[in-house]
Amino acid sequence: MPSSPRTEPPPSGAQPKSFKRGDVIYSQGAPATNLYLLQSGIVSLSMARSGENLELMQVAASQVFGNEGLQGKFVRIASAVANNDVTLIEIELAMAKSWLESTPLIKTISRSLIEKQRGLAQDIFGIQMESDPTPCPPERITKLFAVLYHTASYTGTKKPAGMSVVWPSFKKYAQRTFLESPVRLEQAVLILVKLGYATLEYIPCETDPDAPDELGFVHFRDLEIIRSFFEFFREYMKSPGNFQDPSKIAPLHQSMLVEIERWNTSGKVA
Amino acid sequence: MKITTRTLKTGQMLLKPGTRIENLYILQSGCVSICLTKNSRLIEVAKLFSPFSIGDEAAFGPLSWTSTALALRDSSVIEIPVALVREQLDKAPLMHRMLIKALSDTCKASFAELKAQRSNRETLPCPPEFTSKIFGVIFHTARILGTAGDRGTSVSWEAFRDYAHEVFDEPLHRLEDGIGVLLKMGYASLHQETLTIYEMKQIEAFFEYYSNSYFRSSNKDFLKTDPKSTKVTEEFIKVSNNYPTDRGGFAHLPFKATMDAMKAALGQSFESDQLFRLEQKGLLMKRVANAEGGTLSFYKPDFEQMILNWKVLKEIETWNENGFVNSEGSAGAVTLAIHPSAASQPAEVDYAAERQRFSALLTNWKPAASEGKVPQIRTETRKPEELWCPVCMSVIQKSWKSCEVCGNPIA
Repeated sequence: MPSSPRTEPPPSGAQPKSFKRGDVIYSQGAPATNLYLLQSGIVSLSMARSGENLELMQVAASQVFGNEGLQGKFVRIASAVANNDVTLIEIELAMAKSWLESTPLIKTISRSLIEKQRGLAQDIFGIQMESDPTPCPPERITKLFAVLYHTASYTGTKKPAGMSVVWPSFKKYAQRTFLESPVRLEQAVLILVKLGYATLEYIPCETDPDAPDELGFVHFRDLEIIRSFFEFFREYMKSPGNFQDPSKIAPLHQSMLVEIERWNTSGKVA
Repeated sequence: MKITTRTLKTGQMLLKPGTRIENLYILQSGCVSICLTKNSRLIEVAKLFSPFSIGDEAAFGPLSWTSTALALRDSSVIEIPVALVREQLDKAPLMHRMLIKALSDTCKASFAELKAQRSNRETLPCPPEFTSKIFGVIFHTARILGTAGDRGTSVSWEAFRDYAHEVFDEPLHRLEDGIGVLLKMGYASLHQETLTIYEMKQIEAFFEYYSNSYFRSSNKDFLKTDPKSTKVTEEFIKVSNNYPTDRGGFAHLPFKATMDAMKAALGQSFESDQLFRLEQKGLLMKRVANAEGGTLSFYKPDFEQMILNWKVLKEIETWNENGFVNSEGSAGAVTLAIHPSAASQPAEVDYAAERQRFSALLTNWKPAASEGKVPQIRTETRKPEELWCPVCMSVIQKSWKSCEVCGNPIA
């Protein structure tokens, strides 16, 4: 009969550990150098969003977590916090890899399990993100500015000073074709106005002359600025490690990111 | 005990509820959907791609399989006998076994979580709220990245797929199925990793029609196809071909002669009400009274475009019913091969001719008996697993509610 891991000393590279309720096992963004085999208790995996923690999933006994390293990622995508008293075995990444590749068949099965877990976790995260109250979370930024750019270039009118769009029909096209939130579109345009890349033109309300003027046109000074930003962010989302050094991010893109962060924190573009 | 490879055709079931799991399956290519049955319908819980595993829990203890595993694409799987896996795991050190079991348990828990979330939402492969976006993204991505030529707009399939997914946030499986609909209809072709879209204007017209109708109309049936309306519209357009259109594209038909021609085509039970009911589907016409019995006026391009829109809608309805896009059994259709293997790729295919043949077949097909002819009987032997439509003897799937070639309802 195989001996229990509690009575048998674990191999080197595997450390039993205990945590109390509320203890942080690892933080989002930390290097992914170990994975964890939970023996008892419950661990909560959560992601920081504009100062709040969004819980993605809970891990129970006999499950594994913190295996970003096995999936080829270098940093933690979420924080792990003990929900109650927890005992686990911390396994060094290199040790885990050698165990999971001990024979060709075990290597094949392990790889398929690791990828399946990654895929299922992504699906669960996607469902959890739907309830994310952040106005413009990172995974929405590329699409938002891409829709802004492509809708403006397709439906807008070229003028000497840039590209102009009729705001109501522009908003309708972006919403109906790309399912982009009109509120988010408006806030994104306000960021561009704030940074001097667009101007707004208000017109009197057609139905009620006493009502305040409505936004009639948006004049984009240079659409290529928007294109360069969403293409930068698309690359950033694929390989965030390439942009660890702030000098690798163009000043224009940095200022856009700062405004988006302010929007997420305050809830609107000032 | 040996490891074998198995291929699955689109729509083929790999596992059904109650199956005794004797093999662990690892997906090498394609896509398998894991579904649960609710109210006689299959509700997808998760899509599995290469190199995901199915049935791995059986390696660690008895497994009661309660889901349906269905191939959404032509797929290949490696079958590994569970006994062989257990034999290897028994030889491994305890910690190794524990880690692999923990990975399997984590997958099992994640699947249970997804099942709980998704069983409460009835998700269609192509939900109405996303339909205009799928085709809008296809159109715009091709427009942005593609090169317009005489035959159509061509773009690298990999670049197209990556852009649509990473920039416009379109899920890959839905994008591939949307392209599958266009391939099936002859609006696109995929050859040596190059996607060519022939009917960009048609695709644009479709998603604009869909989005305007979906967001504006409160009538849920407005965007559902109706064979009767389709037939009436097709015949009406045929009758109108005998009369000239004016400079603005409007056709003006004598009312009495038109009704007589419609009765001759559709039978004496045809009433003018059936024509005017097309207004509920967005097809407007005006009847002006005069001494000769009146004139029917309508904008002909709208009617012609609507027929094409309904054909796309019909394909989407079939996609939603089946859970996948299946071009098998559609005569003249381009073979759906999103990731064609070198062996399956034909040396030289005239896709334009294929598309025209398929479009002509769909447009012009009628049962032989309705034209006073004797039906052409198939002479080859039916394969044991094949089902044939009782009317046109095309190959059909068990899950279909009607034949995709002749439209005959299947009991």
